[in-house]
Amino acid sequence: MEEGERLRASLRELRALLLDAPDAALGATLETAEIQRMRLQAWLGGPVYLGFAALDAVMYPERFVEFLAMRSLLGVACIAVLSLGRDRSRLRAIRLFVHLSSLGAIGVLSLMCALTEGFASPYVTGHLLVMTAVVAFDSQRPREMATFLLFAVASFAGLNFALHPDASTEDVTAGMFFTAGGALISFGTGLMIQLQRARLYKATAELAQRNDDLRRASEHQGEFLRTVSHELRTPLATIAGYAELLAADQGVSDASKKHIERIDRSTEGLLRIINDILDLSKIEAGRLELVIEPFDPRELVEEIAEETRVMLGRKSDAVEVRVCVAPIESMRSDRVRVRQVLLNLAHNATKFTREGHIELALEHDARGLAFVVADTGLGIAPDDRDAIFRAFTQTRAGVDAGGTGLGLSIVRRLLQLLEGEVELESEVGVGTKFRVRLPLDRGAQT
Amino acid sequence: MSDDNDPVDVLIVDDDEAYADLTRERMALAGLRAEVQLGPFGAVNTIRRLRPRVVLLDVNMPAIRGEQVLDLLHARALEDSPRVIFLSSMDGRSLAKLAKQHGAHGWLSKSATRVQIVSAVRQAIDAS
Repeated sequence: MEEGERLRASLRELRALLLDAPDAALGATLETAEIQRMRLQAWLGGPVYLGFAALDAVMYPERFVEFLAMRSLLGVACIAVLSLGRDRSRLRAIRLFVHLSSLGAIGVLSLMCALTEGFASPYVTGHLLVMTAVVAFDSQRPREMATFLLFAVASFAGLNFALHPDASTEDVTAGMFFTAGGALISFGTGLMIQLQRARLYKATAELAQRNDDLRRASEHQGEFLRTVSHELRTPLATIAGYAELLAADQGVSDASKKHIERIDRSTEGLLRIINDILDLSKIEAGRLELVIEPFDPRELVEEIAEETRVMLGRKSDAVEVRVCVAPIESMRSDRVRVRQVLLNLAHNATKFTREGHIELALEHDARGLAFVVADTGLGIAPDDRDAIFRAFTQTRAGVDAGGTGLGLSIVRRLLQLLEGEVELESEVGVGTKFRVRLPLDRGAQT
Repeated sequence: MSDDNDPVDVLIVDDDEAYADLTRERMALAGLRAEVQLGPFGAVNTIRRLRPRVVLLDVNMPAIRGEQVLDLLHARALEDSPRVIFLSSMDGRSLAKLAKQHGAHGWLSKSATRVQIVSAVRQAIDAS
């Protein structure tokens, strides 16, 4: 019972695949491919028919004119297919024309067979078999294919019986055997080809659907990002702005000024987190666009040093910011994103360094250009060194210092886009050194 | 709203009232006379009426976006066209691109500090 049910299910699936899939799943790409295939056949058909015309002259010189008329008819059909154009909207018309001309060619070949040697003609019977096989393999549906093959057998038998009523049994048997046998083999092989084609169409349609879903999801994500960006950033900017106005007010007490400073710092922290999340989402969605341009890396290091001093705030008395730059005047990369990478590293250094120094350097060695951000902070234990580059993952010290654990993850992702890499050296209690290697010329965006 | 004859340095076009008021106060602290147009509707008429030297124009506004307001302004071809600066929460790179595409004088992030905004406005006034 189970076997029977499985067989019935397989047949149902097969039927659905053969009868429904080709029409339902024939997408734009496959329709274009279909037209290209038919046009290629038409291009190849012309020379082949000309070649056969020469053979006709040798085999049946007395019937050469009729054969030539038949070849010309097929040649005209080829030209018509080519001239119908590449437009997908004409696919149905092209297909109908090809089918009609195929039926015409089968009919004419049957007639030629009847006009020459009847059932006994191996030359024309062979042609007929080849033509039958071609139209069978070319069909999109089993019904279409069966129509061609039945027509081939019927026209062959009908015309030959009509014109050779006195044909010998051997000739009729042999002719019918080859024609019907050829039609059956064509049918079986054509069915297998159609099955493969239907599976391919179905898989392609599913992929196209999935692709479409992903594209829509990506668009929704982009829209969500824009909304979040606007809806969160504007009120935060308003809070920060009013805090700034309050701080500038001469009448505010020292205690209130401290409160305002905290509001300001918290707002800045929140804005940084929002920006980090948005950046990471953009990178993951492949929506981050690079702008590659030449810039002076030494200036960039100086800028980061300035920002680092500001970020240190009250700690700047205990932590010295050192700068050491190699004489590299220009590089080509995305300045904004390189700056973001270095600022993230510098921000981490300010969080974890209580005393000593933070060094910002620009190096040039045999492996190329490197920016270095080194500190005399807490250091990172060997076990944590991989984890810190994962999104939303932090060390214990990182959790204590606050943040989301996105900074280094963004650094790594951005460096992948910039065709760079980050190296980490660290010793717990001594300090950490991040070396950011970048190509001198990132090249055009890929 | 001010008397029509008073010169207005800056017109702030923004649908977010709190941020628009903040910007006006920032301008006032810097000695600049600013007016607020809440939202994009009627912005072009207000610009024609007040003839400000600089317009701080929000981008993400309902129904009509800032760049559409700017296009409308360009289409009117006013005699003393003000310098238009996009002021938005969009990311800087997109905002810069938008400003370039629509011929804005400049752009500013809404998270810019008072000093940065005032300095940009003063530069635009000097250039006008």
